[in-house]
Amino acid sequence: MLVIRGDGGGSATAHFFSSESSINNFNMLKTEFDSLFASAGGHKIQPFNNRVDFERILAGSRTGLFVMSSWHYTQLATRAQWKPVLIGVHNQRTTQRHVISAGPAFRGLADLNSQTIASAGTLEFTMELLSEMIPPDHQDLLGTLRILIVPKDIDALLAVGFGVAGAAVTTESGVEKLGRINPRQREQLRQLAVGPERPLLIVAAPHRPDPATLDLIEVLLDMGTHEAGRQRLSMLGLDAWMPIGPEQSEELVE
Amino acid sequence: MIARPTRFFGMDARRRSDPVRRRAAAAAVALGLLAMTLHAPRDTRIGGVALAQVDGPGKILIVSSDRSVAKYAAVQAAFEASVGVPTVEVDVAATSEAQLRRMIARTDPDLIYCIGSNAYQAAADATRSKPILFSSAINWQRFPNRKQTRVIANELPVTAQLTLFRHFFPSVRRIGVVFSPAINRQWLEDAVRAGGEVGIEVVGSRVRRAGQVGDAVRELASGVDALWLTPDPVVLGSVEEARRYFNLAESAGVPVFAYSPAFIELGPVLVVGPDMATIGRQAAWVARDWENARDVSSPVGSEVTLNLKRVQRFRMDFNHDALDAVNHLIR
Repeated sequence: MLVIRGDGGGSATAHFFSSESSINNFNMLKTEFDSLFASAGGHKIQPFNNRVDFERILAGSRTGLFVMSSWHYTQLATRAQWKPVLIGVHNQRTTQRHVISAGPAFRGLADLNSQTIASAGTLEFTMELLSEMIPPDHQDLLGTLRILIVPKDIDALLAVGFGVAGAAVTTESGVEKLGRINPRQREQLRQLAVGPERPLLIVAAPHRPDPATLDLIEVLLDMGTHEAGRQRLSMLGLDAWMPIGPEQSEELVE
Repeated sequence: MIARPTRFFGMDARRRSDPVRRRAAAAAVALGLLAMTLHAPRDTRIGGVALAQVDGPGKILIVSSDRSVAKYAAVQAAFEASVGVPTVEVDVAATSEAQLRRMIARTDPDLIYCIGSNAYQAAADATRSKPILFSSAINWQRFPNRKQTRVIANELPVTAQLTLFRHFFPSVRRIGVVFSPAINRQWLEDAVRAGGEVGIEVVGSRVRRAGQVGDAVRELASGVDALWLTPDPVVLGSVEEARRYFNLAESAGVPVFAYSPAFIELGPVLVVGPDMATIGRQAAWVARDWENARDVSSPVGSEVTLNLKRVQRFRMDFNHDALDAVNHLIR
């Protein structure tokens, strides 16, 4: 249920940047989340469309929350100052895998030489995924690839079907989703590689959060219990937040 | 970094991911590419990272129909960030034909990239010999064939539109389209076939004159779950005709799916159009690999506007899980 909170300890800001999606929905996120938070502590969300600005704000902050890709968190030079507190949940899972899907003419990864690869992630994240999924003795493929950044997974997969890209790097769930919506397009895709399980989006907080930040953490946790919150979570590709477990947290901070 | 085994289809599956070795390998590749970039006569970085080395043009002239128009500016910004070669820009809205001819002669570009119909028409009139790439042009098919020309189409492929319709509204099974066969007969055939892929029956109603649109909408409305507004000069000959189309649909109680955010004020439930930044990035790759590029490329990034108020008005079931694919939400 949505708990209407009074103005007890001030408000905090959830700063958001995802390396795993390139959809330009920042205005929508701002409007939707702020309207939800208005009656739940008056907190705010601040979406970012680039990593540099996001990290600049993070480096200069001592309060609030930072919502990001788990991969991005592991890349932060300042992550020691921020601890993961929440992890995203989707379809009752807190992890996902990425896959390389190609057109029917491609029989193996070696066929990707000089091909266009569509991806919804940032260029850096996409290169990380590719270097992970392409075996060491084929890493020279990386230098031949043309990466086309598109807004969402479904765009990347359809780009293969339209012949604009030879392959796509997407989440496994993105491929499953296409299979439900357009089985014919899905059937034409050949899976060339699967990556490891990665945690979903995480929320990082200061080691000693102030009362407003603590309240915002509770508000985020509460989102999965009511329709308005779940609707906003869907905009991030999630169903809920949950407290991050010690094992997951340990893996991220290593 | 979590180290777990990965599977490589068609490759030796015994390999385990070694994060240190992979990072070193990726770093070596990146450093090697960076070295090649530093010594190469042209900057081949895409988005700041050197990837594929392609012999592209040395200089590009960007001709914009109007730099002050947000969508044209978005395309241009993405193109400039991705193409990695020097560019010179011209705004046709502030440039005469003579000035454009002089600019082309003076800069002697290897390629001219035109954003918008006016830009393309102006450039095509100004030069017969320069290769031209253009995008963001409404009804681009109306332009006469020209050698050494490539285009990024302005509408998402019908398969992409129908896939997104189905993604947002799984209950929609029958969609009506008013169309003029002289212009869109082939388009409708493609749409009917693509509809079969997603389980949507596309039903067309033909018109030859604007005056027939009202009857066509009424005829379709009783038997479809939604109307699909597509670029058709007979159906959408004027702003008034567009307004009339939406009013007719409203009166008939049928929601409309539209292809362009230009119609948002008229009340479609869903707008599915091309993403401007992706068009710019696609154009960059066409420019870099001109000889191997197709004459016509489809835009592959989508931009979606969902009007929840209209969803509620028509009591439509929509897929909440699709909200992460929405760019703009109207309540």
